[in-house]
Amino acid sequence: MQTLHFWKLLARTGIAVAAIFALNAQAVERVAPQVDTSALPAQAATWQEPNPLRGNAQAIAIGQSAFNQSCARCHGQDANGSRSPAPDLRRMGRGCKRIQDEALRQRCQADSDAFFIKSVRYGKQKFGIVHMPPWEDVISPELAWALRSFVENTPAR
Amino acid sequence: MHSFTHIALAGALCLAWAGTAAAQQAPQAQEGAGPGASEPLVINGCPIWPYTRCPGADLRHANLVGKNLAGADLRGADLTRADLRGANLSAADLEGANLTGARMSKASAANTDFKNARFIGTDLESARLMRSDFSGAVFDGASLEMARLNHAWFVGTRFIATDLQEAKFVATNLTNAVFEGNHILYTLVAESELGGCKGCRPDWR
Repeated sequence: MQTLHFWKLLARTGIAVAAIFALNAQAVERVAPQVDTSALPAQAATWQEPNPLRGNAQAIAIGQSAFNQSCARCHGQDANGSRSPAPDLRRMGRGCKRIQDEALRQRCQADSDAFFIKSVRYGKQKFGIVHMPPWEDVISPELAWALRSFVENTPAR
Repeated sequence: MHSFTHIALAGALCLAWAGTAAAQQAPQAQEGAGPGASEPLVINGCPIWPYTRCPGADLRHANLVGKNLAGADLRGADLTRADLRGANLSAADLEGANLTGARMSKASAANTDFKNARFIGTDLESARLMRSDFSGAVFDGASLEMARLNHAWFVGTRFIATDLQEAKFVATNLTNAVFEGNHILYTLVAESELGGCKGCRPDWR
């Protein structure tokens, strides 16, 4: 009876370990978004901040589609991160809009853009644990900026 | 009675005017550089906002109480005697920063990079420091009383004459760390890596 209990426990542990590994593999999986970026301006093909596509309606639409294909899994559908495992990105740099001084406001937005683009390019890794994979070789700079434009134009309710 | 009412009204008006004037002046004094009330604080060219990029900034004696500096790049910054009580430094980069004499009680600095930072006489009481990297940092005469340090790394970190009462070192990496002359009372060290640690108590293993 005790032997049977031991094997049952071992099987359950095995299933749990397999599930954890499966989840971890899913967590770092990168899905390249299927979007047409040809309509985006050529000068946006740079990793250099500030966001060259800020306020661009076409970029926002493309960014939304790409976000829901590749980022929503962790950051929430339509960037609604209120019930998501990864941070809610909608408030990132939002405080900059309240700054009256134009030079300061642009600097504030550039700082937020730099943090966003660095996170997208190189991902989030800490102590050997990959919390977010790097996306530099999966998405182009213009698509990364389109994602940024979409996220910062999505109201946080 | 009539004149008394006039005097009382005049006094009340004076007080109201003084209060309004003080209220109008207060935000400018607090916000700092900008002319408008909503302008951010800028100290020695370093704007105080989330994700600010000020490597090597001179922020000595800066009043940063409750400020949001999440994701800030403050590598090598001088924050000697800065007041960071209740400030948010989550995911910020303070590698090599000097935090000598800084007040950081109840600060939130989870997932922050403090590699090779200096905490000489720094007050970190009840600070939230989970998952941060303190490798190569120096705590000398500092206070980590009741600080939460779960999952943090302290590879080669020195703790000299530091108050570690009720500090929580759960699932930390204390490889090659040095403990000497600290106040250790109800300090919780569990499930931690202690390889090469000097001064780690036998009951921590």
